[in-house]
Parts: sequence; C-alpha cells; structure tokens
Amino acid sequence: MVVFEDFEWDDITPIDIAETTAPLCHILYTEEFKKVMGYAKALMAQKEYSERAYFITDEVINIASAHYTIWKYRFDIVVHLKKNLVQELDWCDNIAYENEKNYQIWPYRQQIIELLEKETESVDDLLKLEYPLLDIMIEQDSKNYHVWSHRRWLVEKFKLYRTQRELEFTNDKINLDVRNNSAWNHRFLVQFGDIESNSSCDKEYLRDEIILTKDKIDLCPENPSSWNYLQAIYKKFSVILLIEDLNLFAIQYTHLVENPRVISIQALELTAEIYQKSDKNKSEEIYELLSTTYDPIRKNYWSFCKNLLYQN
Amino acid sequence: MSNSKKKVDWYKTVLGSRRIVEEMVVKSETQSNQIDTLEIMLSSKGSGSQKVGTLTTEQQVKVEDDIRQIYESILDDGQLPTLETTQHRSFVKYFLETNLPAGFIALDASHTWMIFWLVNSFLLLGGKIDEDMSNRISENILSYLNEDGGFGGGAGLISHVVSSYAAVMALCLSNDHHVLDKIDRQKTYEWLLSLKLEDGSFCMYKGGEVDTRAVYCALVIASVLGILTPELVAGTAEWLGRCQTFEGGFGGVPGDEAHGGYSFCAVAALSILGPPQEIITRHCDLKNLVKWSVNRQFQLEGGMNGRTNKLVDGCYSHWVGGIFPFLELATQCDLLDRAALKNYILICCQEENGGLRDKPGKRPDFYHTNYVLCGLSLCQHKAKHDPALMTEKLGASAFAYRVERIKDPQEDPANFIEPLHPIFGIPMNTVLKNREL
Repeated sequence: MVVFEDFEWDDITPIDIAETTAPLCHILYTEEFKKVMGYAKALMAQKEYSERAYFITDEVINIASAHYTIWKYRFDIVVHLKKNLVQELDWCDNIAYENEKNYQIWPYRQQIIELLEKETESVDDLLKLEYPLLDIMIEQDSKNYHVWSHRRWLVEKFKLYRTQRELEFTNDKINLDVRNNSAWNHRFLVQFGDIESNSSCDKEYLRDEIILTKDKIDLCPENPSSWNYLQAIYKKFSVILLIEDLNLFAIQYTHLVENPRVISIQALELTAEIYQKSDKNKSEEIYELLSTTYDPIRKNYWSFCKNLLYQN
Repeated sequence: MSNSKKKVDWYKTVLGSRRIVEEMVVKSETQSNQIDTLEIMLSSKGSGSQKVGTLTTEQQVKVEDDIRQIYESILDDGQLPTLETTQHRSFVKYFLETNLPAGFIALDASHTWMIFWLVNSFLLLGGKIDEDMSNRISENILSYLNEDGGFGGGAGLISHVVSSYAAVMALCLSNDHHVLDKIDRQKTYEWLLSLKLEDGSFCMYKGGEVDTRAVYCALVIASVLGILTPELVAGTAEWLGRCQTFEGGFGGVPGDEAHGGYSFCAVAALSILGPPQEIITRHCDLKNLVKWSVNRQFQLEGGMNGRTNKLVDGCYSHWVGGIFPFLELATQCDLLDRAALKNYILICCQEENGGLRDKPGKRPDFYHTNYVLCGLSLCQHKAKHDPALMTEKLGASAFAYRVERIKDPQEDPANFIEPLHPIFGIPMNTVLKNREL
C-alpha cells in the first residue's frame, strides 16, 4: 500500500484551509484532514499532475467524498498521467461501496468509461466492469437512485434496449420486491425508452409485456408501481392499444363486482377514467366513493377529477 | 384502538353529534379541525393488510406502526403539539454561533448550504438578522466567490451551480441590500453559460453531474441577479419537459425515476420561465403530474414520500409539497391535504430539544430543519400569481407571486411561520427587499 511518506513533500507549502475573521459553520477539522487538504490545495494551485497528486486526491476523497473539486482534479491527473483506466474504475468501486449517496462518483465513472471506450473494442468487456458493482450496490439498497441512474446511462450509451441481460435484471428485482418502483422505471426504459410515443410496436410483444404486468398486479392489486406501468404502456401506444380494453381487468378489484378479492384504489381510478366517455355518472360515483371511503386523504384530488369530467 | 378513541366513538353514537363530542374531549377549541383530520388519518387500514409482503411493505409497516402509536396517544390526550418556535430557533442559533465537530467534514464542500439552511430556518421562525450576523453571512459567503463569477461550496473550491444557488440565496437573506452588487453579473452570466449543454440542460461544473437541480439553481441565480436571457435558457423548458416520466413526476434527467426533489426543481424552474398555468401545460402532462404529486401523501402518516413505494420523509413536505402552489395555480383547485401534512410535521418531525427531522427515531439536522419548516409554511399559505405584477421581461413571472396566509380561525398563532416564495424557497419579504433595489 502506498503511504504519505512514500513521496517527497518538502518542496510544497500546504495551503491552510482559509478562514474569514468571523467564520460561520466553522468545522473543527482533524489534523489528518487539514494535512491532506492543505497539500491537495497546494498541488492543485500549481496544476501539478503527478503520482503524489494522484495519491493525495485518494486521501481527501476517502475522508470527504463530496469534495467535487478534488474529483475534477483527479480526473485531470488521470488524463495527464495516462493512468490505467480499468484500475481507476476499481478504485471508484471501493469509493462507491463506502459512499452510497455520493453524487460525484457516477459522472466521474462515466467520464472514465468514455475514455476507456476509445481503447476497448468490445462493449461487453466494458460492461463486465460495470455489472458486478451495480449488482452489489442494488443488493445493498434496491432503490439507490444514483445506481439506477447509472444503469440508465449505460442502457442509453450502449443501446441495451430489450437486451436479455437488462430485462432479466429488472425481472429479478421485481420478483424480489414487486413494489420496487426503481426496477419498474428501469424496465420501462429498457423496453420502450428508444421508441417514440404514439408510434407503433409489435402487438405480440406488447401483449406479452401486458400479461406479465397483469400477473404482477394480480399478485398485489394495491401496488401503484405495476398499475402505473400498465397504464403507461397503453398511453404510449394509444395508436394500437385501447385503454377501454382494461375495463374487465380493472373492475375485478372494485366494488362493481360481487365479492372482490380486494378493493384497489388504482383499479377504481382507472375504472372511473374508462367510464368517463360512456357513463359519466358512474365515474362520478367512483370518485365520490374514493373521496369518502377509500382514499379520503386525496378528497381534493377526487373532486378535481370530478370537475374534469364535465370540462372535456 | 385506544380507550379515548373508543370513548369518542361511543359519544358519537350516543350523542349523534360530532360537535358536542369535540367540545367534551378536545381541550383546545383551536385544534378541532386538526383532531378531525387525525381521526381520518387513523382510519387508514395501513399496508399491513396487503397479502404479499415484500421488503417495501416490511419497512412501510414498521413506520406506520410507530406513527400510528404516536397519533393514538395524541388522540388520547386530545391535545396537539404546537410549533416549538423558541426551541427550534435556539437549535439554529446555536449552530450559527458554534464551531462544528469534525463529523461535519463530510459537509466541508457544502458550506454555502449549511449557512443557507440555518439562516433560512431562522428567518422562517421569525428570527431577525442583526448587523453582526448580516456581516458574517456576507463576509463568509463572498469568501467563496471565485474569479469566474460562481461560488464554490467552501473556501478554495471551484464554482458549483447548486453551491452558488445556496450562496446567492444566503446573500438575499443577509439583510444587506447592496451585497448582491458585489457579484460581477457579467462574469456570473458567462460562467453559467459555459455550463449550459447543447440539449438545454446545465451541469454543476465542467465534468460534474447534469440534472434538474442544476437547471433550477442556474435559473434561480440568473433570475435573482437579473441576467436571465433567451440565450441562457434556449431549449431548457423542452429539456425539463423530457424529464417527466410515465408516472407523472420528474426524474433528474430524462429516463430516470420520478423523484420529489428533482420534480420540485423541474416545476419551479419552468415557473421561472412563465406563469405556471401556461408553462406547465405547455411543457408537460399536467394531469399526470397532479396524479403523481397527490399520491406522494400518505393517508396514515399525512406526510409525503419522494417516490412511489418509498417511506415518508419530512423534507418532502417541501420538495413535493412545494410543487402544489404551482399545481393549484395551474388547475385552480385545492389539491393538497394541508391539515394532514401539518399534523405530520407538528407531531412527527419536531425534536424535543429543537430541530426538525425526517421521521420519528431520526435525528434532526440543518437540511431537514429548513425543509420541514418550508413545508409548514406551505400548509399555512396560498400562492397567487398576479398578472398586474408581470412585465414582458423574461423571468418576470417569478416575481409576480403574492403569498397569503390561509384564514383559519382554528390555527393556533403559536404555529405561525413566515410566508415562503414558491420558487426561490426563501421568505417572501427577503425576495421583495432584494427586488426593490
């Protein structure tokens, strides 16, 4: 392991962490932090791109990972010294594991991948570097926004739409927790992210996706994630799909059938929407019921929906 | 069910009149509306009844159980807590005057934020900035101003868009009306322009992340400094529109999951570019945005979450709650259950010794203290957009708001908090003062 003493520092005067005469929110820094930050600032000031500068950025980021200035500096060092990019991603992995909510890691990683892309022939080889990290981090926190966002970036960058790997990944996450909204969101991107709204799509393909989604709704009819996903498919492909076709499916989770297994707010809302063309009274009745009985916290919203019935 | 609740139900049956019951059980006349709301909240059956349990429901049920218990004991007593203004003000003041322990090194790149959160909370709580504090704020914030016209998040750090938002807002709060003149507006303009990307979005710094936060902060800075130009915002509204997801809320960038913080930033940024009733419908699906936003509020908790199937968190009282002034203007309808949100804030988010928090069991911090207070302000006020205050100038819409206290005779004056500017997130009077000059 490389340590501070491995480098020569005598020629550098560390820059003190500047303070005003009457500081606000002054932090009582540790001696360790003062030291590494002081040297980092001094090296940065003289735009030094060297091994010791590379070393000191690691020291700072390990203590305070949100120091975006140091991230930017490190990137410049990596470029100047032509560091091994795969090793750089490995380093990044470790920082990511320790700092689940850090903002800087991901755009940094993306910059490194873009450099690496120029050196590598195979996208698969690149992706092999990404998947283990993403798998572990999603396992730790299945809804980590930054990690899902990075995965979205990979899908867009390398055109991974409808690839088996991505579809299976979202499948696994949804099977593990059908309420994992991040997984549903990612699935929508993977399935339809590159397709324009209101365009056509293979009907058979859509049918399979609809069946899968309905299965997940049957499993848990109160889950907004799966209902939102289902309706989004119908909305996106309204040229070939009719929302009215969902009537029979939705109605089974409402009071409109005898002995419903469970009453679902989402099913009631969808049913009311479907009826708004053919039977406004029925829609109104449902909104009223949602407002008084099933979902009173949103009574203002239900009355807004009721008003909309007569505006269109 | 608690004994008191049973008693209430019994009274209701016997007496057949809600009003009489309240007079007998509720000690404070001023709180009957809040107590009614609490009863409705407690009528929620909760997520425990759902057949298939997963990690999501496991965590959700735990939070519901905690909160249900707290609410039932409040109902037992018949007395709602009021806002502990003095305690919270001391909490904020203490941290403005003391040195922070080494644990705060994690926030070393967020100095402008810490100052902004604390001073903003202090003012929302009715605190007054004296000359000494005013000087300290401007001296410290200006020490983070860089040659390029942007602010770093601390001393010697490169310019960063969201750090700069917090810096400019803190300067507005400093009560020194000439302090903004210390910023070279031309430089700031060029710096912002240098962070603009071809698709209309902004990045935090060269190589930094791109998201709706960066767009919101860039537009707020430009708006407050009077440097908003068509060139700076070309394509921006369209890019923001692309961030709306199939669920109706906005992700940080197109394709990412709908999220409270990113949604507030997107909707508030759009509302800098035009009156909400026009600009929101022009660039996104209003009905779907309304649907997503109202679904963030929990029946039992009364508070809001930031994403579908996530847990309640006090900070979303602002990030999601703060979208409602725009939605209510765009739809001309009340859409939020303010009484329920108020119950969550006053009962679940106040720490006994001062400071506000995410949820019971969590510790208060600067961030939550500020955004929970912003949420409370929202509960007590309504925003109006006054066309008479509009001019032809780009960005004029941001300064055409009037924010009025909702007349509620039952509201305990102890809970009063300053009105908040719906876009900038700072007290109305601080925006007005800076605008007049």
